[in-house]
Amino acid sequence: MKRPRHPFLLLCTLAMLIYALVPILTVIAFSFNPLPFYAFPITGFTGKWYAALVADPRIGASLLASLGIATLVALLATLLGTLFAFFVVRAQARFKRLWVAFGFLPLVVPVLVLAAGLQVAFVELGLPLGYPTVIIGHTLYTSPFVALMVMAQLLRYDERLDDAARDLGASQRQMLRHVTLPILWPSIRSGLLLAFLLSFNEWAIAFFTGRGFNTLPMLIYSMARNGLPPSVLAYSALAVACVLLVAGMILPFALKLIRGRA
Amino acid sequence: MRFSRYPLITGGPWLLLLLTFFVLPIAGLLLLSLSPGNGSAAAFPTLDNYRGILDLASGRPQVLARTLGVALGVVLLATLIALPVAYYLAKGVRSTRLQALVLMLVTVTFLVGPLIRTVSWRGILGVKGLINTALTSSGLLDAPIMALLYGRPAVIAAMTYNSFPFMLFTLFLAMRTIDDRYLVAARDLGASANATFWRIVMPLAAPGLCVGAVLVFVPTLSTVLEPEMLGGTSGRLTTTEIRDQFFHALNWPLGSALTVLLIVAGGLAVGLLAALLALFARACGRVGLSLGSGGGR
Repeated sequence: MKRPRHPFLLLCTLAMLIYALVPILTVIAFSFNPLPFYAFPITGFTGKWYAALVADPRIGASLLASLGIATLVALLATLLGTLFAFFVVRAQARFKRLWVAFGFLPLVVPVLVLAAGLQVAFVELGLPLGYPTVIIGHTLYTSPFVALMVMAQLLRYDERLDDAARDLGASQRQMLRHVTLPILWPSIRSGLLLAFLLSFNEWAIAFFTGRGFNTLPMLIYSMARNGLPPSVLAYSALAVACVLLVAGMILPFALKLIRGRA
Repeated sequence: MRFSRYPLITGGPWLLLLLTFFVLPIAGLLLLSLSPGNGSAAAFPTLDNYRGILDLASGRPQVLARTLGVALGVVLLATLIALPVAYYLAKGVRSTRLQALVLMLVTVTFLVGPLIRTVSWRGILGVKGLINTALTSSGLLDAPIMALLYGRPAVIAAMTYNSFPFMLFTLFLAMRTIDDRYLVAARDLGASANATFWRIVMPLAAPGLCVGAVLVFVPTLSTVLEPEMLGGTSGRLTTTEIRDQFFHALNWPLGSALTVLLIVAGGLAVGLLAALLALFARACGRVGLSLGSGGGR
């Protein structure tokens, strides 16, 4: 096949990469810059903003809060999202199309609406705002993404594999444990990591429904309101490093998905 | 009957969670928006909040229109950025490694989160940011442009930055599923590269374009960070008003009414957008936008 390789397309792709990468790269560059501004010129190399970041007592507490929330959310969202993917692909139910559309509704409702709604509902019902509200909100926000990831693989899953397992005498549980879930595992793991990152970085739901603690995005937001100290830059650079690490773990599955062999 | 086919076990938990913590809160918002606001003497079911919001003199309808306009503009920009790239990656590049690498780079910057992504634009657009530094040090400008930051262009640049990956991914996936043989057939039958793109690829990728447009539009509609951090005083949007009503003015009924209005307006806009895109795709397929080259019919 003669592939569309017009130089214009290549140019667009390069421009898009520059657009995507340069802002993040400048933040990393600034985080090592002795000047405490989000600005040029780069005058040297220093690690003092990282030292300031580590020395800030609020960071440790926020990091713990964010990690705890994101871990729980990732587990919950993976469980719910994977089950729902099975519902979408395999279940037979009345009004199934309607239920499926309803299940993906959070994707098309602004996060801010969910955040404000949860806050209002909990306060009106006299329930306290706190960790549970943030975890519920983040689970609602991230589960559809997990479901989409697992669905991508489940749609290509050859059900005869399950039949074969059953014919060979496996129980439901054994079939799931030794055949179905291991085959789906790459997509489930990717969904888990994605849910973790989305929750870890989410700001609006945490800001509206979290009380008595700061997640990292909440803390950075409140710091940013007072003029963005340079330790925010150091935090950003570290966050990029962490995301890079996690993304590397999703990469093999993404590659398979693109090749159509998942 | 296999366990995975039981709708109650597989679909039940998630749908139940949605019913309790998604539908109920939105119903709560609706109820609260009908309650009298601060300093109002009206009884419970009242439309006072909505009257206040829809009053042109309050300036809020204009802000809502601006919010929707900005979001639509962001969808358009995201499409312009993503369309050629998705086409090139899906059909121009043979190596899946290269495809994955480009998409992964975008994903990594995306997953860093909206807060950092937004803050990073200060280093680009600021008085001593990348653009001004590059322009002044190369002698193209004598003094830096002050107006780059703290205005609507900065907000739109950052909003597009924060949401265009959705468009890129959905368009890429839609274009990848197009059978290469269609393209070969089109070329064999004498279609130019442009005609192939507009009459074969675009109509087939239209569902992806629709999904991408919605996935870009919705989060853009609910952004607070970009207008607050980069918008200065000119960037007020409905979202920042909602935040202010809940956290500064503490007028929750009014905030709820604004939120309900945002859902309704957003829903209508999404419907309109989908209809327009469907129309566009059909126009591409039928009329054949061959864009000047000899493809045509």
